[in-house]
Amino acid sequence: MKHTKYVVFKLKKAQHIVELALIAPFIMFFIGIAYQLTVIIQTHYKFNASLYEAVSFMASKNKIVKETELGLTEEQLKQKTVNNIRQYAQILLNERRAGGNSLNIKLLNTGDIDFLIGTYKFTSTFSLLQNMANPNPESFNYLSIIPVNSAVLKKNSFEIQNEFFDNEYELVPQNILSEDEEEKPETDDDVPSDDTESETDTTDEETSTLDTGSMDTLEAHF
Amino acid sequence: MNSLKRFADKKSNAVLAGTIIIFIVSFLVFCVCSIDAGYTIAARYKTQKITETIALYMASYLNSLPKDKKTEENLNDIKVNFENLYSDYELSGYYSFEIKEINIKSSPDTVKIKVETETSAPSLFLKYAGIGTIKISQNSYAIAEPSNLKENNSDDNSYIYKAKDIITDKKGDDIEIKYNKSYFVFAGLKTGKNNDNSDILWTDIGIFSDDNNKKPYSIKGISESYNLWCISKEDTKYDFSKNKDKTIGLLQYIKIIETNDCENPAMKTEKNTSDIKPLVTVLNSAKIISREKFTKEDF
Repeated sequence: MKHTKYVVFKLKKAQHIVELALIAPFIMFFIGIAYQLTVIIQTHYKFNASLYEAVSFMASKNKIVKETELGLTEEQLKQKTVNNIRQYAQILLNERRAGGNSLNIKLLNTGDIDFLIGTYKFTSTFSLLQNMANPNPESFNYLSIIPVNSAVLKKNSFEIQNEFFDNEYELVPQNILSEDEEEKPETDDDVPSDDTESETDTTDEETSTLDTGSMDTLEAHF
Repeated sequence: MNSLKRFADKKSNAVLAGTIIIFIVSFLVFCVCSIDAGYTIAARYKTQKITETIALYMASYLNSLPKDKKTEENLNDIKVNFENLYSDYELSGYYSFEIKEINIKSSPDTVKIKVETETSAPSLFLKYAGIGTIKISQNSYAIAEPSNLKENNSDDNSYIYKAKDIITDKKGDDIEIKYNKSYFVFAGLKTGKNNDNSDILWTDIGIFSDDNNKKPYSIKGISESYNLWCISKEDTKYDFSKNKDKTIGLLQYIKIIETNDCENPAMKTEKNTSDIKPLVTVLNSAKIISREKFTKEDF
């Protein structure tokens, strides 16, 4: 009798193990999905947070036109700021272990307000979910549009050190304007021609170590 | 007896299995609702930020227009631009974005605005339960008004004014200086963290003034030379977008150096303390306000 009871117990235990083995793949599959969803949502959060942080950080850094940048147009200088934002955001993403190196930021010029359109591609490590969710891997591309005051992206033409006013200086009248130009001082022509040449003392204490390569500008579509 | 016991065991097992199934299903529904709730909160926060940006931009834009043009019709372009951009699902992730209401209260130099937006954000999982979109409505109130700068740390021959917040270049005239003397004017931006003014960089902003009789000069130091303009108009406005060769996007300080006259100026003249000081005004200072402040009629 005792022996029979022992055999039945053993059989029941084996049955449980077999049942567990049968449902284990499903349990692992659901845990995998839950984990992957968490990673996707968390990456979205990291992407947005990094982008906003980079914009607010760069809004107050490198705001003065450097001597080497004097020949560049306002748009080119804006583009440099955008590129710095991209690189700083990428550094933040890497530090937050979001992975990948696919962050891109495009600038949409619309006037007083510019839009920074950030894209970030996340490649799922759980290929089954990737295939199930959408056969198109683009579905894991994150997008974020940040409206920015365009003045914040500009680099400014501040050139006179504060100590300059403590030393001796003299005022010399400029007679470079023609009579026609003097009649229309409101136009852009009233700028002295040697304006940029004199801006040779620009210094920027907060020298950026970020790369300042070129970047395509997205055409405004409105 | 044994068969009865077996029957009872089987029944309790079935009840247990049913309970577990109900628990798992409830838990899954709870998780799905939680994820979508979190997603909705994030979308709501984002929509609020967009609404605030639109309100600030519209208030600032309207305040740069003459009194008779401070109407909703003049905001149509901005409205369409924002709606087109944020309704593009591929770009914004929203199905639609609409500016539902714009309410304007204006006086000659101040604009208050209320903006209400409605966003249709896609749900993540609730779409499988028939709830495909979540509508989010947000309000924002903004004001654009003139704001006087306070005098700060002036020295023997100049007045220095400091803005509480950074002043940004906007559409139209940016600052106004009322002063009944001839003067040179500079904008400054702090580049370090020193407590004194030693790390401020300056630039002449006379070039942006609407004084038709301004006179160009060069200021020469030991090794440097800069261009600047002498201003003699009592009430002068400055538009930082006026000149393409010089960029002023941000500034925080204004320095005014009084001079005897613009024909033969001398910058080292000491200020007379009994003189009337210059009045520096930021013409279009935009900020977010509360609903109570918007409702309050103070024009």
